Amino acid sequence: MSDMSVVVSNSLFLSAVLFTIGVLGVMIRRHPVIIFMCIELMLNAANLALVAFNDYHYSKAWPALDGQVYAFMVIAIAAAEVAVGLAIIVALFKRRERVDVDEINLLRG
Amino acid sequence: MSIELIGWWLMAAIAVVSAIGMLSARNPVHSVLWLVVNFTSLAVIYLIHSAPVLFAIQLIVYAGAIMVLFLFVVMFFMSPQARQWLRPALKGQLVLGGILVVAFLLLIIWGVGASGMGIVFNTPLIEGASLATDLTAGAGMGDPRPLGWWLFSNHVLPFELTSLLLLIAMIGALMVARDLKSEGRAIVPETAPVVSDEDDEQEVLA
Repeated sequence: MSDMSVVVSNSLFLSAVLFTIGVLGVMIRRHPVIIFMCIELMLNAANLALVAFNDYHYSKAWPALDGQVYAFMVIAIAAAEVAVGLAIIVALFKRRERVDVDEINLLRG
Repeated sequence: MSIELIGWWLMAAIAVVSAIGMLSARNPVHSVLWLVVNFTSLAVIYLIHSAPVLFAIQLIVYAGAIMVLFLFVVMFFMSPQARQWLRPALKGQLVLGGILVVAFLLLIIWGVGASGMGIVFNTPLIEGASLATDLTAGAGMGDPRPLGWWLFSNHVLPFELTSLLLLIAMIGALMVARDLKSEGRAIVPETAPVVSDEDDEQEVLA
């Protein structure tokens, strides 16, 4: 087993660990910004898996880069998601003194 | 063990520690800074996986732009008590900052010189660079050109849709976050607990 394939399989485990930490954060933290950052962490864990699989399946005969392209798309969509999500959080901060996701259960102000 | 594996273990340790630090920090600003560390270590792992373009995008877009947005929101709406630590309290901050700036400058000068693009070390501009090089043949996986070729050969439609999505997200964010009160046509009911944040803004501006 060469070092690079060790790195690929290790990266998949690291991706799983980071994703789990993100899920844990969404479950135990109540500050909306922290929860949002945990979602970002999960997106990055998925990106890491995509890049690792791309590295594993890349060959001279078939130089496919789909994994990297997907990761690229995920980053672009994460940027859009952050813009909208932070706008919602800003709107929440403007209307409430305490921002606790357990207390936010209405779609209207 | 190769240098890649050693670097991978180092970066993986940093990534896990910073993720846990992000999770457990009491101060949201500390969480954001931990997450920047995490994204940076992931960027280096992308580099180990022969994805230099994603390394750059991760640093610029994620660790740069997105986290600045997070920091902006967190710091703008943090309570005044929690803002105490923002004062520069480190001893010798000026000296350390100066050393780091000089090191950074030397790094840039070295980088420009090593790339062969600068005239700092009397190297001619664009010597030996050939833009007509074949895009895929002979290019290693670390080369950024195959990614662009692959992206615009097989994924043009998603790429263009992404630009539309970013535009929609930008308009949507403006609509959600704009101040209806100041426009004189608030849709907020009178009974709703409206918290004024004008004092907060004054403090930030001052």
